[in-house]
Amino acid sequence: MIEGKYSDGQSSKLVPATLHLLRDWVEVRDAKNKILRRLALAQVTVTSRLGNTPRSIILGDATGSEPVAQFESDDNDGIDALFAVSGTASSLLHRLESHLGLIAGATVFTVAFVFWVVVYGVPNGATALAYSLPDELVSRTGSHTLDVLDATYLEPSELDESEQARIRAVLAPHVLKGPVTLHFRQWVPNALALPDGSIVFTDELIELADHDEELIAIAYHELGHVEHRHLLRRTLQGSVVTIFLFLLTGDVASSDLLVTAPAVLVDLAYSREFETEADRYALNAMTEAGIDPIHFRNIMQKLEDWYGDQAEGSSGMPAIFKYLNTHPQTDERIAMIEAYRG
Amino acid sequence: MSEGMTGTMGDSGDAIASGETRELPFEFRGDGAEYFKIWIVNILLTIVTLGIYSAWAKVRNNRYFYSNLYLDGESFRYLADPITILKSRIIAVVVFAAFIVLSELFPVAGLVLALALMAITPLLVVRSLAFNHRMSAYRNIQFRFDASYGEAVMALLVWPILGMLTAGILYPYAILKSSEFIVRNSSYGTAAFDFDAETWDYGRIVLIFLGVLIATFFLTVGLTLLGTGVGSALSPIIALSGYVLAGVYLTVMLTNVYYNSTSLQAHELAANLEVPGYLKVFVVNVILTVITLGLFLPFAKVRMAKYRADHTQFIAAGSLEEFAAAEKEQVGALGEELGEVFDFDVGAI
Repeated sequence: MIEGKYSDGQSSKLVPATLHLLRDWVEVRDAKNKILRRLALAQVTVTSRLGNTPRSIILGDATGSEPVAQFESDDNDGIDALFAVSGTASSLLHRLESHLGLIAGATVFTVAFVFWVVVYGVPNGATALAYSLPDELVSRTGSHTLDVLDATYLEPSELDESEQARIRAVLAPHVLKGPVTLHFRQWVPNALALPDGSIVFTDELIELADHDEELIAIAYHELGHVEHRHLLRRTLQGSVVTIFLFLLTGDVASSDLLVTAPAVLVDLAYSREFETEADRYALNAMTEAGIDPIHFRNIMQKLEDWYGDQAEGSSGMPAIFKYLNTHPQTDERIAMIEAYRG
Repeated sequence: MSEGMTGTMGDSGDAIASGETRELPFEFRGDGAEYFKIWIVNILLTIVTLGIYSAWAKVRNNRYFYSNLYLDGESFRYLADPITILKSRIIAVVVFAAFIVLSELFPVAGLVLALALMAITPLLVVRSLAFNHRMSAYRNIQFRFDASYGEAVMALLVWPILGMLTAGILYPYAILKSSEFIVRNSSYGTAAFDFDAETWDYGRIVLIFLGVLIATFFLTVGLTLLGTGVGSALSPIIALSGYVLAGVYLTVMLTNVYYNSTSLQAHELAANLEVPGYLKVFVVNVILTVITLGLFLPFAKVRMAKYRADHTQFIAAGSLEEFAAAEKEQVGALGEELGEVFDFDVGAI
């Protein structure tokens, strides 16, 4: 016998009642022992146990359109004993959820697994997929990205035709191969690589550079993004990580900072990794072309100074802010270049 | 006017006069450590089953929070069937993955898709609310939500867009319309909820919210311009604090207006969340969740649920035993699952 409350499903009225199991029949009786409901055991559904929460015993078919009577009770042990649910899948879940050793193991396993997926699984999977796609498909993707950027951030270049032609000639032997094309625009000092092989230089960047070798360094960095299919990989990795965390926590819906922030942080970490990879590509390519990597260091320093002047005080930012950037810290990048030069 | 109506539909004025109203507190009886165990087993099984278990995990998560929320000695119920959720979830994840890949690789196609998504968003929101209401019960009576696509378009697209086009002047009215849309189309059994707020309730909140943001902006810029080492080091911290404060203020005040304006026949809801209390819960949650690499998340959710329940009341005018069940209609979970992956998040105030 279990004590609890009975409701007929027609109204919100709850009646103190007891539930009895007599062979294959379930009976619900009120305080005066009058039978409120009697039905075959097979028609009864006992909801699974969950922590210490009260449980419903559904008296009838809950999938139909008719309201269904139910008996609810927080006597979880009593319900388990009466219906002999031990050994069923639902009682197994509760046993797992109360097993301290398993909880400890699950915690360690989960942390290790999430770490592995985020650091190795997703990047390696995305890389394999990105490289297995045919070149033609990759270069066709994002063919309108430049149009979208033109409509949003970028303005037409004001650089002389002759100067544009001269820069093209300088870069041609180094990077303008295959699908790679060079475009001039106005924005902040920056260069962009698009998945279809377009490389965009801004007038402001060209103005900042004192030597053509500095532009070659930047062009190699952007070519590194193109060659390594970074944009495609970041797209793949970003969406896979979002879906992964969504499935894991079942919680992406609540636009809750607590759940969306990790996905963003991971995406930014991937972005920084790609920048480092592109830097390394540029250093190797420059060495091969016989250009001193010092030029890469110099243009990085100029960019850093320019942006530093724009947002004074950014150098005083707490170190933790570096995890919020798409690019590694400039001093780290410069240190890498200097280490490379030996 | 109360003649001919059922007992619970009496005039609230009469009920107060006759001293019948009872202020019933909501109470959340969940426990962080207990929920942590359920949560970590959910994650473990989700990994081991390659994501399939996530549908069961969602049901167990929701059941934990519903079943531990008490009002007048009775707790709520979450009734959804994991299989229903699983089927819809598979479709939703496939659609979401296709959407992301297409829109990032082909920006123009992505633009078209985004517009299409915008057009069906109101429909998905309605379906999602309908599913969640239908799967929520209290005293064995289920909630319901029913709204037309037209209403949803007005409340979820037209008014917010007009709010933006008028540089935010109509925004308070847009918030009012969307809350009204959600509450007035909700019912508990056959009893409909009603919503009674004024535009100025929201106007005041939005003005103070903007005030905090603007003050933060000027303080940050001022400190940076001063150029002293301490000032520039402090400015990002001040900026972050200002934005968090503004966000918390907005959440707290909107939640209060939402519940204080909601009624169910003669019964009323009330909320008295406070900025300092909510801020404390929120900041501690964020810090501990970050430090523990996410393992504090279940404790954080329980703490927040407790705080919100502790500051919400139901003012009952008479008995809670006379609500009648409505006919049950079948509602699929696809809208809800698509809504989850695409993150619409309406009405989760």
